[in-house]
Amino acid sequence: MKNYLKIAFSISSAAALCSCVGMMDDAQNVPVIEPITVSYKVSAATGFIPKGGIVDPDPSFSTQGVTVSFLESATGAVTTGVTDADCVATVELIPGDYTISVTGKVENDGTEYYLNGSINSVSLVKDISKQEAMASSGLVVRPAKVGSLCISEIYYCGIAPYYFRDQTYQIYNNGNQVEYLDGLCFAQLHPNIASATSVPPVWPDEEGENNYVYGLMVWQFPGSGQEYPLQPGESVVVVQEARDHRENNPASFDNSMADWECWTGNVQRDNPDVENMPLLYAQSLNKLQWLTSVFGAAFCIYRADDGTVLDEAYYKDKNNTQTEVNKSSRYARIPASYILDGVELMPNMDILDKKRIPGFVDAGAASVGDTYCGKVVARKVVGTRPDGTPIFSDTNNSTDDFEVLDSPMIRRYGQKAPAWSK
Amino acid sequence: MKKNTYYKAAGCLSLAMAAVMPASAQNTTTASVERQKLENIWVNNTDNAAAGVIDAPSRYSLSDLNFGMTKGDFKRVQQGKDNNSVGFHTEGGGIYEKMGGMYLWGEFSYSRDRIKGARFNASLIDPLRGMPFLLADSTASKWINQDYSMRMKVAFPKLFDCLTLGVGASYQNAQGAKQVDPRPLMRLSKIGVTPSAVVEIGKHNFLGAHFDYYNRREDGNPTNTNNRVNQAGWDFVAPGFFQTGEFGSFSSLSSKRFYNANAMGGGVQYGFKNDRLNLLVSGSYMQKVEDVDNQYSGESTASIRKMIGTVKEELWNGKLVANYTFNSGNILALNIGYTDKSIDGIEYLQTYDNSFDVQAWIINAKFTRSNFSTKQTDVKLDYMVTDDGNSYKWWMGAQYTKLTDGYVYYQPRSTQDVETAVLGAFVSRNIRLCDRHALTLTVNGGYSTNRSGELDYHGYKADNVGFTMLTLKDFEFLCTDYAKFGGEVTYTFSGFKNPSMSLYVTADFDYYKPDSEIFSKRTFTNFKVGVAF
Repeated sequence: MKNYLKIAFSISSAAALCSCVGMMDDAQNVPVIEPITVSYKVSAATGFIPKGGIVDPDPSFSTQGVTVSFLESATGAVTTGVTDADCVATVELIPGDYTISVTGKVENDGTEYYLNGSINSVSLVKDISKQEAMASSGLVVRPAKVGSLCISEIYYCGIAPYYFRDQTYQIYNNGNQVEYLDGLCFAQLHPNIASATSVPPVWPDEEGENNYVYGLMVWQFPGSGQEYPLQPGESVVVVQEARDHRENNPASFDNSMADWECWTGNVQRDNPDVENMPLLYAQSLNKLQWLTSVFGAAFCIYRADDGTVLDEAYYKDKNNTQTEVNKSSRYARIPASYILDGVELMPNMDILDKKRIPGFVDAGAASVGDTYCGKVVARKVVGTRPDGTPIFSDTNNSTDDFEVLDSPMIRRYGQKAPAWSK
Repeated sequence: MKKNTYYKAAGCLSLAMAAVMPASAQNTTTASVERQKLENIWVNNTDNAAAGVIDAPSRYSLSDLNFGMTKGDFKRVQQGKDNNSVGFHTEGGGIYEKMGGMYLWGEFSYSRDRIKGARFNASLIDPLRGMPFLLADSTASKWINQDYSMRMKVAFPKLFDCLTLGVGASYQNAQGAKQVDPRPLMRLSKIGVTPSAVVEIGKHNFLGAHFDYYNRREDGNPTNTNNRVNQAGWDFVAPGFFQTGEFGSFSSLSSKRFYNANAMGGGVQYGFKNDRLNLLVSGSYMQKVEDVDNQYSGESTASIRKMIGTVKEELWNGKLVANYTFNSGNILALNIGYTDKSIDGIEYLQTYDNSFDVQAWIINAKFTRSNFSTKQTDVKLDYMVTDDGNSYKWWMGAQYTKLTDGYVYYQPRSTQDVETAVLGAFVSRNIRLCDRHALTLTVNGGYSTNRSGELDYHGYKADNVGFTMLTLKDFEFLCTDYAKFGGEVTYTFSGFKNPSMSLYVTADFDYYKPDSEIFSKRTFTNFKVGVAF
């Protein structure tokens, strides 16, 4: 018995010593960090982008002149460069993990495109020459047509004490011609929450990269085609629950004049005076209410680019839904070309490197920075039409387009209600 | 026979640690122990346990209960503003002639600290121990810390009439619990071993060497009792460099944090000793490597922990100690020390590979991103007027300390450098009131002057309270001049229970007055009651 104890003790001691020596050895001769020079290519792709983003750039689609931002996650340092004629931006950086964002507007074949995109968790630890950069695909960006409809204001964080039934979304016609809401889809995207420790979902290889976003809940505006016109300068209000919420919480506000309620089946929470928005798809239906994360979810509006009106049957087809690798929950699969506008909301702007939806939906993010604070993110005004309605900033980058305001407001800055709105 | 001797030694050591020592022939008091500590330069200035036979201290034991209060805002941000502490401490040992002249010494201490008004710490029992990777919140919080520490030293009987082997060991166990959300319960354990040897060269010269190893672990998980309210937090990698987040369900800082340190080092010593002069020159080096990693909520296996950083600490220490004993028995003691501590903060670049058969954070690169440097020079001169017995009548001393303290964060380059000089002096008078009663009075004073201080910050969060309320305020503290004075009174009743045992009661008070418009004062008050024998 004593011998066994001696052997056990000896083995334990040897293991502990090896572990200790290994740990100490790992910490020796670690180089001091020095700046590196990095060239990074920005490519445009209009077709399917396979997994890994390895795709031949469209030679006719120049990305010259777009701004490339390198955000280092550890320090929050942001370094920017502009792409040259070879579509390469060269900057000096601290070695680190970066979120690389591209933002800009280019013209191709007489059509204006946003060229917004981003990629997370890129480890840049050594110099990358321009030749090396040109030999790689770099960041492949999906061009997005400059559209008219946009999400103009989101009130998502609720108000103390823990009141969240007043979540409100406003969609605005920021263009110069009438847009019809009929059949337009309004989706809450997966994942619902982003945090500094969250790991992005892994989709099957056949999904490629930046070809789709995935919906948790998809609501659809009713109408047969031209029932719900939205004139330039008009907006509609979509809410979790339409009522004067001040009856429940004096610090809240009145959104009882909403155009649509996103009602999930709780009879106690239905306002009969406000039409319920049809629910097209739900990954998992919470019948109490449609509560999106008070930390900040992500949203987009979309419709099929071939004019097809999506219906429930569309999402019953498993080809139009997808699961994460090794998981079973199915999410609505939304092709990139369908998307008209998107907004990503974060718990705070210090974790911008944890963006969870592709840059072609939103190259940045917005945040009120807290929960239950009663604040709201709203688009910045960059101009005014002759009729007094605002022209909002819409660069497809919410970091630049949105600002944080102290309280929600229905149709802020003189936005008009459609004639058919009650 | 030899085996029996060692068993006896072990038994006696246990007794020493419990401070139940056989009575020595002479009366033991706190003053006599203080004199002994001044005289025994090897035991009290090196970690060489074998050197106990050189000093050959007479046996003593001290056991006391203590209570302390610390108040005032002249402090580091992470220290408490209004603290109190209760504790028990016992130490004792000496030479055991009947065990072949072995030296045995042991110490045990327990303390329970209530630290109120501390800020920017949610992951360390001692946030000022040189660990830049920490979680923090800005709430003024109360911590309740408990610490159990044990140390022992043994020097075995002499071999070949010139070689003495020894070993020291230590064990510490502590818990720290923050009482306001986010509230981590931190657990710490530390175990160390220090084998050593001393060779006598002739009658007067000694060469010594020791090896030092310890392992230290600290871990805990900051959680909220009110899980409906998240708490703002900071994940620091260096002063002024951090990520902000929240403690709470689904929040960024909800993780269990592990600190695991291994340290190895050693030292060499030379000593000369005759009737008049007792000289010691020593040097030591210690390297500590401490890994910091996180395990996030919902992740149960160690394989998917994420490295947060590594600290590599190198500590060089040099000492020159010389005691000269005059014909009268009075002692002049010079103690010069130099310490150079350098801490590298290593950060990792990682990506999470969540493929089915990996599911782990993969390290792509690692860099030294920060360095913290402390250099300290101490010059201390003591003069002790001894009495006829084993104590002293007067003890006076002066000390000069030069401290340079700084750090660099390499990219974006930010630096802080502070140089401080402190001059202090004290006088103690041990008054024998009659055969059994004595009073020891001590007064001390000092002044600290900041010679230079520069904080050059090029980080990106200069407006964040994680910088303004912690880094900046700590810098202001370090650059503040202050005057300090204090005093101590000890009453000793000798012959308590038996002729060699004494009962003592001590009260001491220290007052720090900063030359500042930001800080007002800091006071330390301590009471102690104990027995010495």
